[in-house]
Amino acid sequence: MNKISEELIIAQLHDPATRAATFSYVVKKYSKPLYHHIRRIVLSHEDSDDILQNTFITAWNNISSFRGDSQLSTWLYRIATNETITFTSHKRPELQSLNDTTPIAEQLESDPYFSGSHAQALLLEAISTLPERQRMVFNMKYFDDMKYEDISKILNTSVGALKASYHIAVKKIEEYIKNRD
Amino acid sequence: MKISNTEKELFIESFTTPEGYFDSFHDRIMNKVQTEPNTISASKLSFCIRYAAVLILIYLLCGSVYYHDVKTHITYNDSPYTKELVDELIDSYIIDNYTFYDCITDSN
Repeated sequence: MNKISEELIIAQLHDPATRAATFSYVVKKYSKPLYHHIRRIVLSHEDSDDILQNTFITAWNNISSFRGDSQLSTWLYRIATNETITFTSHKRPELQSLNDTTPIAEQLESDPYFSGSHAQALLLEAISTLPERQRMVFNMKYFDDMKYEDISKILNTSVGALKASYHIAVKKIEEYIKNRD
Repeated sequence: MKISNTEKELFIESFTTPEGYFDSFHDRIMNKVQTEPNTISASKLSFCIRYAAVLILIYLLCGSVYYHDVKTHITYNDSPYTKELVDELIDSYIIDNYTFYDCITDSN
């Protein structure tokens, strides 16, 4: 698929004649990164699928209110983040509801949709102990290599607070892994 | 705590999905949004409903005031106090107060 400029995409999303076709392009382009953004929080594939679906439906229903003040990716990440927060506040994530005494790492290793090593599972377990927003900051910075300015627009938090949050998250994860082994 | 880009990619790859997941997800979403075309969001709908409810209440309030004033024939032109009566009352008030003042000063 040819690279299309962001302004053109936004213009075509606002045009009823081209909205569906352009939205199809957007879904194809962003479903994978958004899926992984969500999955790193909720860990389960089924929960991630639900939230990803809600994300794109919300985006579709609110296209007319998106004026291009931020990048399309920032807007989508913000929706995905809010949907994830809403989901986790209303429903206990699948992986944590199965058995509270089984460590997350072990649950992950027995998940058919996880093929990572024990070390990777352990790191995800450490990340899952962080408060929700701190977890998101860490994931977006560490795995997605996002700039603090972009994370700030997604989470509506100052850059300074994000830097502090990330620094604390790293310390907590290192401590957790050290004590776990 | 640093890992290389390769290790990060491997990390992402550790989260697997059923075969053909993203293709079927795309088809599922497009079917959903095209059968339920661009609709007003729930939050916008509740705002509109609340806004409409406030407008209706204001209309009812104005309507009840109008009804009370007009339909029950209460008009401000039906005041029992004519201009002449008002003037007479003011004059008598002045006279009465002058007399009272006069009494006070005379007594002193």
